Amino acid sequence: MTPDEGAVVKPALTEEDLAALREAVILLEQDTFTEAVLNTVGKFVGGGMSLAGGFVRGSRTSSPRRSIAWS
Amino acid sequence: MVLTIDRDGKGLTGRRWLDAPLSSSWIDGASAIVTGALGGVGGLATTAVELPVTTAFLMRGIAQIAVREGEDLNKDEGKLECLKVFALGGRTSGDDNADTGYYSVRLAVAEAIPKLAHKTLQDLLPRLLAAVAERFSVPVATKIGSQAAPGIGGAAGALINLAFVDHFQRKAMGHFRVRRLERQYGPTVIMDLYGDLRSDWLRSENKKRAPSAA
Repeated sequence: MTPDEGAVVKPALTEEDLAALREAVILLEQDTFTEAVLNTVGKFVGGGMSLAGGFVRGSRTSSPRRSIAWS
Repeated sequence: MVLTIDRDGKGLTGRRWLDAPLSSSWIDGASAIVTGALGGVGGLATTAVELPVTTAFLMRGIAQIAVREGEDLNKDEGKLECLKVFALGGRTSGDDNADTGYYSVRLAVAEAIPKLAHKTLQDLLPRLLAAVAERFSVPVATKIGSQAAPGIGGAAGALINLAFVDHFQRKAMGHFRVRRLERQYGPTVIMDLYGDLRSDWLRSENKKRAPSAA
């Protein structure tokens, strides 16, 4: 008996299942809860800052008094 | 709560307009955000009441994902696997220098409870809960700390619960996907392949971090 004959043949995963497993690895290993909280808070704070920034920029350009003062 | 899960894909009510939102994960997220906000407003006192409700919503979301990935919730094993998801993502003090990968956590929880054979759910539950609680207490401590201040705790509660739902639903998706593949191809094949894919992923993550650290 050759070594190849005694070897256990492992079933090969389909492309779809391999992609599913690769995604599962990322889902399971990517971050801890603390990191997830920081990401969520970061998204909200970041979103809030851009909203506030946009509001401030908008009020500067739309305010007639400001535009007179800057001109 | 578990009774509100569509276990066989036929729908809970038979009305598609009602079944679609009931089986989607966003309804659990929205419910958890609302309960988090309400729980946080009163500080520690209301957080103590809110925490079991949030955990129940989380459990419902996890069970819904389990069913989607082909888990049989009529069996004790399926129910126990839902509980084990709470152990994923929380590190204990003993984990600091150890490998905290998915299979390491899974094996640590499995070692803490006796084998399923000839045991009822009632026999296994106390030991499983103790094993899971050790890891689940890490995110819970973060949550309680953030919601301790009355008033502002409402906003913190909503945000933390959003992170709670997102985190545990992602872990549930990964866990039950791995279990589905294990049923299909065998646990050893998937465990070996998972190890290889994890090593590749860790290498690519380290490469990404290396330039920023330099």
